[in-house]
Amino acid sequence: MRNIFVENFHNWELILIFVTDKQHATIMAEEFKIFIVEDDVWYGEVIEYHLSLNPDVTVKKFTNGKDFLKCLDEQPSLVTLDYSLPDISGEEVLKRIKEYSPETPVVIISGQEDIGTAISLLKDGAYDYIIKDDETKDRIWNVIKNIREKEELKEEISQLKNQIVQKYDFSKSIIGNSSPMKRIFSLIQKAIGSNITVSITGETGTGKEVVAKAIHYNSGRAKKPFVAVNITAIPSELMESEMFGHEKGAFTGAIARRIGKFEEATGGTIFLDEIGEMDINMQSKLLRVLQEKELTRVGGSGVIKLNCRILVATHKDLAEEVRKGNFREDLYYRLLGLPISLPALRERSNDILLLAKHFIDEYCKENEIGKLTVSPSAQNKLLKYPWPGNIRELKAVVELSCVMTDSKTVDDEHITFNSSGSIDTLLQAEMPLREYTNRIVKYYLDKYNQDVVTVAKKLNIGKSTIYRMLQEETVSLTNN
Amino acid sequence: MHTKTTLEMEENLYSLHQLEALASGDTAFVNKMVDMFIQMAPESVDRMLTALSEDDLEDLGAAAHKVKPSIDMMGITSLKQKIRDLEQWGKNRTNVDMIPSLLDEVIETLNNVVQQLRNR
Repeated sequence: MRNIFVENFHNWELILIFVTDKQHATIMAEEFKIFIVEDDVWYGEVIEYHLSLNPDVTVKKFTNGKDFLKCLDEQPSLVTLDYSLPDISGEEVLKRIKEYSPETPVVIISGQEDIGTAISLLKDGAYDYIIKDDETKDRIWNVIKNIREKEELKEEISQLKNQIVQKYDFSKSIIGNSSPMKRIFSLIQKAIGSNITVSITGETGTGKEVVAKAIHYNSGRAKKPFVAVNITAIPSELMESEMFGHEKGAFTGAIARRIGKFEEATGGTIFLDEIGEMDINMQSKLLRVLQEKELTRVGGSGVIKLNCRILVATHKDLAEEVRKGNFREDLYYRLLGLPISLPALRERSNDILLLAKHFIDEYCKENEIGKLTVSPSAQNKLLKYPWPGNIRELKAVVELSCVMTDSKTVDDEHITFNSSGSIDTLLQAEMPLREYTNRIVKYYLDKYNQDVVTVAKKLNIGKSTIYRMLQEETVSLTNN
Repeated sequence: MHTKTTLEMEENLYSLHQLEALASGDTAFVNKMVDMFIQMAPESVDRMLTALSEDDLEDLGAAAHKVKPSIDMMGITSLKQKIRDLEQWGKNRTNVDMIPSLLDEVIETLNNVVQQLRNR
C-alpha cells in the first residue's frame, strides 16, 4: 500500500487515498489531461483544485463552450462538461466533441437531477453523468481510474496482438535451412497470399499446427480468430454439434444455444487437425457444408453463411485412406487444396542441430541460465538418431539434456532417447541383421532375468545359439 | 451529527469544513475560495433581484442553480433546501406568489454569511 494523496482527508475520501502499488503505477503512468468546462467559476475552481492534487494530472478550465471547442485539438484525456453553459447547450458541445474525436471520454456534470436528460446524454456518447453534490469529486476520480484501466487494457491487448504476430512470424517460428524446408517455406508463402484450403501432412511432431498458425497469423485474417479443432479429441456423437453448433433443446443436454467451431472462426481460420480420423458419417456432413458454403446448427433451421478459411492436417496418407475406403474421395479432393507435406526430421539432417541449438537457447533463456554448447560427440548422437517423434521429440530430448548436464556443455551422456520407441524406430536405425539379433536376444535376457532356457523357448531358437552369442561377447549376461 | 442552538446558528451560518478537508491544510486555497464567494454572492443576489423585477423567473431559477454548488460547499445548511426551491419554482413558474418572500430570506442569509466571512 502506498499513500499518494494527502492523508488527513475526510473519511469519504479515504477510498481514494489508499491504492495498491500496481494502481499507483497506473496512475503515475503518463500525464492525464483534463479539460473542465464549467461556467460556475467557483465550482470549477474546487474541481480543479481537487483534481490537481495528483501531480500527473493537468487541468485546464473553460467557462464557456466556444473557448473549449477551440482547444479540442489539444486532445484531452477527459472532459468534464457542465450541462448548462451560457453560450452553447451541453448537448451540442457533446455532439461536437464526439464528431471531432469519438474516443474522448466526456463526463457530464450537472446541477440538476433529471433522469431523462441523463439517459439521452449517455445515449449520445457521454461516458458518465454526475450530479454536483458532495460526492462529485470522488465520482470523477472513479471515472478517471476506470478510463485509465480501460486504456491500459487496450494497450495491453494491442501489445499481445503484436506479440502473436511476432511469435508466428514464420521466418522465426519455423526453423530450417535444409532444401526440403526451403520448399516448404515457399509453399507457406503461397498459402499466405491466398485463401485456398491447405492440407498439411507429415509425421507426428513435424510441426503441422505450427505451419497452420504461421499461415493464419501472416495472412489477412490474422486479426480474426484461429480456431483449432482436434478431430480425435471429440467423441463422434458430439462432433456435429461441436463443429456446427446447436440450438437450445436440439438434444438431451442442449440447455442453451451454442455456436460451433465453424461459426467461431468467422472471418478467420479453422484448423481441422487429424482430419483422417473423422467418422465417415461426419465426412459427408462436412462435405455438404463445404459444397453449400453454409451450415445449419443442429436442431436449427436458419442457414448460416460459411466465412472461414479451412486448413486441415493429418499424419495419415489420405490417398491411401481413400483407396481403403476409409475416407471419402470427393471430400479428399475438396480438402486437398494446396498440399504441404512436412518432411520428417531425419530427412532434414542438417536442421537437427539447428533446431537443437534453438531449443537449447530457448531453454536457457526461459530458465535464466547461461548459454550451453553441444559437444561434437553429442551432436553426432543427435544426428544418428531416427527421431520417430520428430521435432516434438527433439525438443523434449534436448531440454532433458540441458537439465542433466552439470557444466556448460551438453555431452552425449546427457542425451537419452526414451525407450517407448516402437519397432519402427529400431528398424529405422539401419543396423546389420546380426546387430538386430543381438539386441533382441539381450532384450529378452533382461526381461527373463538372464534365464537362457526360457529365452530360447520364447524366441524358438536353440540354447546353444544364445550361448554362442554370449561366448562371442556380443551379448552379455550383465545388465549394463 | 450535532445539534446547534439557535444562538450558534446565528453566529455560524456557514461551515468551511468541506473546503478545509479538501485543502488539507492549504489555507491559501480556503482563503481564495472564501474571497471568491464573498465577491460572487452579491453578483448572484443582484442577478436574482433583477430577474424577479423583470418577471424573468427562468433566469431567477438559473441564477439559483448556479449558486447552489457553492452554497453546499460553503456549508450554508440553512439555504440548502431554500436555494433548491427557488431554482425549481423559478424554472417551473410554480408557487410564484411565494417566490419574493423566499428570495428575501435567501438574500438576507447570504448577506449575513458574506458579513460573517469578512469578519472571520
